[in-house]
Amino acid sequence: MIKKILSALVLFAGLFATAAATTNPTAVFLQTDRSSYISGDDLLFGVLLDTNILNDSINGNDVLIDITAANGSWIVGTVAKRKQGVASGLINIPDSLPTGYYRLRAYTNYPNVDNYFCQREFYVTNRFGKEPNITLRTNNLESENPTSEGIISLAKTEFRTKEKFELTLKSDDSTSAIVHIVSKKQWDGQRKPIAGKCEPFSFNGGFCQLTPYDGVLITGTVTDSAGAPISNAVVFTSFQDSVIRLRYDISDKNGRFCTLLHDYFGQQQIFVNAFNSKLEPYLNAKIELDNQFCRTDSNNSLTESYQETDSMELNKAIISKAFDMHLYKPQETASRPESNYEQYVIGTPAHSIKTDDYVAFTDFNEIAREVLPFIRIRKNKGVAEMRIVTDFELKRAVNANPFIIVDGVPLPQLAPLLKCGSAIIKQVDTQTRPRYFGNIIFENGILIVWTHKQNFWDKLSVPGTFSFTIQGFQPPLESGQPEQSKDKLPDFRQTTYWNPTVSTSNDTKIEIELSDETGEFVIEFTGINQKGEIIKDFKLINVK
Amino acid sequence: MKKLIIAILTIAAVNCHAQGDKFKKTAVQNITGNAFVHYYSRLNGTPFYNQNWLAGDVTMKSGDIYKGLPLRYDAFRDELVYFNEVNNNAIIIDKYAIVGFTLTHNNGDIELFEPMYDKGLRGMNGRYMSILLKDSISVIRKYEAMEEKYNTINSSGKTGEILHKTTTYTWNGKELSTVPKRRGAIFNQYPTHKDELRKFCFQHHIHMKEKKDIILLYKEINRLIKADSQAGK
Repeated sequence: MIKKILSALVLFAGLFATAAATTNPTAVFLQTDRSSYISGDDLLFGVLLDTNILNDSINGNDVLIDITAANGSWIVGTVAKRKQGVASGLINIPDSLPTGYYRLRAYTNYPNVDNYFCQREFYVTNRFGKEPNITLRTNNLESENPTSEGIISLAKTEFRTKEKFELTLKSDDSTSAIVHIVSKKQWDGQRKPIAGKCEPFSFNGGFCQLTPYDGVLITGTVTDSAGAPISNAVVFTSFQDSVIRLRYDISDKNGRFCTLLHDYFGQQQIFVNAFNSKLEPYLNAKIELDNQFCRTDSNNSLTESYQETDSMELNKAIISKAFDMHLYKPQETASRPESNYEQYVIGTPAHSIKTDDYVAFTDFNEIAREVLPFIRIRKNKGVAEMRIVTDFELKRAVNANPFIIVDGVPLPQLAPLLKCGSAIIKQVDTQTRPRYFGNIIFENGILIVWTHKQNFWDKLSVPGTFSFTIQGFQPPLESGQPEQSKDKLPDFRQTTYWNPTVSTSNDTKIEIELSDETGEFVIEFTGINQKGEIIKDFKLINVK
Repeated sequence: MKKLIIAILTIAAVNCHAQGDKFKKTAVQNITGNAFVHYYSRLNGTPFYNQNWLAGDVTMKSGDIYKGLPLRYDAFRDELVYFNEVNNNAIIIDKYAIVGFTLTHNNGDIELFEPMYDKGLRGMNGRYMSILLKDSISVIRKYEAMEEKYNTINSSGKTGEILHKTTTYTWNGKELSTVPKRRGAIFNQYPTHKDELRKFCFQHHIHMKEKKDIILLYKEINRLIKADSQAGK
């Protein structure tokens, strides 16, 4: 009897724990503005994700988008920030891609959940390459049936070129949606998005105890020179900058660490170095970051047939490039998060000097001797040591090197700094009091050095300090209205209209202006409602 | 048998609790500050507004919210002190990084503090104030601890005593006024609503002796002022 109760309770507890740890994504949809592109074009994408899961703060809000080739090789990737169920942006198709089908993949990499994965094939024509044999166009219409007819409401279906009209979206549900208009030819060529998995990638930061909200999660491993993991290392990530943006993590028993970059946009160079609990550097440590993107592609092979790219498409791409006609432009973003706690790491410096206020000094030793009386630099068994004097009257100094930060990056070795005189160094700030940063203590004071050019780390190699380039969020794009063509210029937009951030509730109206192109066009609506259901509708229009 | 079931349920509860604790590391990771140095040993009394560590939430300018930290408000130096359980240190959290913090009193009352920045606050610009009511006329409270020196050093070597003072103010975003201790003085400040306010105090048994009395009365004053402005008076 006791055994039965015991096993039942254990089973119950186990089920409870599993339910708390995993959440099943119910819906994901990947939409592109067109089905075929010319190399060098911008591919506009929108990813619809289940809003029920999005509101869960345990999950992150970054969505990874990349392109892989037919042979599974990884080509290019970006990180989009999701908002109200939609992550959207653009990805530039490299000029070097040969003609053929490629795979656009959108996926997430959050801990403790079954992650989203969705892919969609698209076609690229290399304008400089040799055209392969052209086979029949694949018509995928049967996979694109509307799930919810009557959302798109139009007064008529016949339009003139350049005509302005109002599109009404009738939806009872509150929906986040992508609305776009493309030529029927482009629409016919589009492939159905398919859900899948990126098995070898599935979250490699499960150890990470940070809450991955509102940021890009970076994970890595710290090992010693023999390749053994270093546990309990204080791993700092920082940026070369005019302010200190320092964050840290304590490595686990496998040497794994993580960091979360809030509101960082575009490509970022980060510096990573490791220290022990007394903040003594691991000079022989090796630090590696995990790939941000899933570099393997084990999914089914791509469509073998080739699609026709007509001369009209090529001409539109040329006109678009020549007159800089894009539907979207990236918004300007701050180079770093505006309100940043990292700037508070040092507190108010106890002393601060600017080298320009003094005569020129040849090296740091001279600077310290002449204008930094609270800094002592001596050689002990041939190794330079620095001490901060905390009490002049008692001639009391701390008995270990202070924590040194140069241009925002921790410097584990004194030697590179000692060579620098006032020609390089602009300002020296000193914090003589112990400072607390989370659970770590800068007991021996902090020395902060700023250089004139803020480029101390360029071309400098310091043992134990590694630099990496990572992808922050893609800068958000400007509004969904198509760019109005300039006067007297032909308007042959590659995509007539693209708006991935439409929110519908009751009747939502959108202003549209058509281009100079004639023919059949499709207005497509793809949305996700509050229940996490994908809703699709489309209407055919004729432009004369 | 009973004991066994209790033991199993306890284990299950600990298991569930452990799930909730998974973000503990994040809880203090980005808090910065200096060591709290207790230099009041030559004074009688305590500099702290709350004698014991109270659980509270701290909201930082970075957007981080740290929940359930052991907090004490040092009214003498006007600093927020938290206890870091990992390195067993009392740390003064940098004030310029804080948007506000709460203290949860033993009776369950939650008190909100914010560093107030405005030139109109005169000598109190940048000071932590307890926010009793946030409205067009806000009610804020200053907790102050001051040193009163003894004429002679007493037998225990103490040179003085720390005395606590509480002052309640109204703040309309421009002007700071002390809240009168008498109801009548408040009624006189709002002559057009004198009768309504008197009636309101009578109905709600407001005697201005407790914090909730002040809050209730100023809520009503705000309501009346809002009604006036809507009516175009």
